[in-house]
Amino acid sequence: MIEHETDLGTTRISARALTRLATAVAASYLDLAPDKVGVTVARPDGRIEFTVSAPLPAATVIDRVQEQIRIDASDLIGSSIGRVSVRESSAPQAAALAGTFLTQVRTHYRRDPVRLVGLLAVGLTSVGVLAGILARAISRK
Amino acid sequence: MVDTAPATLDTSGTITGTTVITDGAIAKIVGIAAREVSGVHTLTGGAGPLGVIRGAIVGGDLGQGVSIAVSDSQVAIEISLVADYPVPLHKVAADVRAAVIAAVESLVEVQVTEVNVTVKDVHLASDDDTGSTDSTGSTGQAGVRE
Repeated sequence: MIEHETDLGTTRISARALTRLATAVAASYLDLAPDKVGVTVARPDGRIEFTVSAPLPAATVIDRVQEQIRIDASDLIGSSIGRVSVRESSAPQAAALAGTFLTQVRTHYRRDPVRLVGLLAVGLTSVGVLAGILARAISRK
Repeated sequence: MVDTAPATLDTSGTITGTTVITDGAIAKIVGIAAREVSGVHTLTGGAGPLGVIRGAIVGGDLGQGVSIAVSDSQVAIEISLVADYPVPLHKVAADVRAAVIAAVESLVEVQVTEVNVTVKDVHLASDDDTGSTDSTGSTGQAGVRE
């Protein structure tokens, strides 16, 4: 979370918004879909630093991409970004698959959150009933 | 809640009364003004599944993502929003602040002491491509270490 104080109130930008914005900027410069790009945000000395992990396209000039991401993200956030590091993702396929799966699950239940609540309720009730049966069986012994 | 006039019966026999503007009404004005700002995708009661569930329950609540505190004809406002990419976040916040102050001070005639804006999430075009109907839909493998 970063904060800007103004005379008429405070502007806060959540860590999630920062991460998503950096993901989008990095994806545009690497010519990848955002779900193929991983970003972590750190603030070691109070300055924001991004680490970007992605399956880098061939002939990517990393230094130039890092600087472009740093400049664009700084403009969009309104704060200076200390450093951007772009790395070849060590397990791009696994990460991409996991990211895609989680995105699909989240997308599905965002369309129908009531169903998610219902499933959770049924699941918790079932666990409770099973626990009760087990407890009764154990106490009889 | 804002009381704008005391209850009286004037000498001409005309019945006067108190105008009460509830916090909910002010929150709706704030919500409408903020949503009209370019770069605001939506206002949000919270990111993530809980925010989505809350949004589904309350439906199209225009005051969602807005909280206000009124005291002595002054109001302090908190707004949580999802911004569109690639609009500069600080510009969105400044525009929202200006629009909300103008709307509240002209329509309710109370002084706005502060408008705190929290950008909770950023909406990407690819969120729509994946079929997400929710503004807080997320893509990307993101992590935060602070």
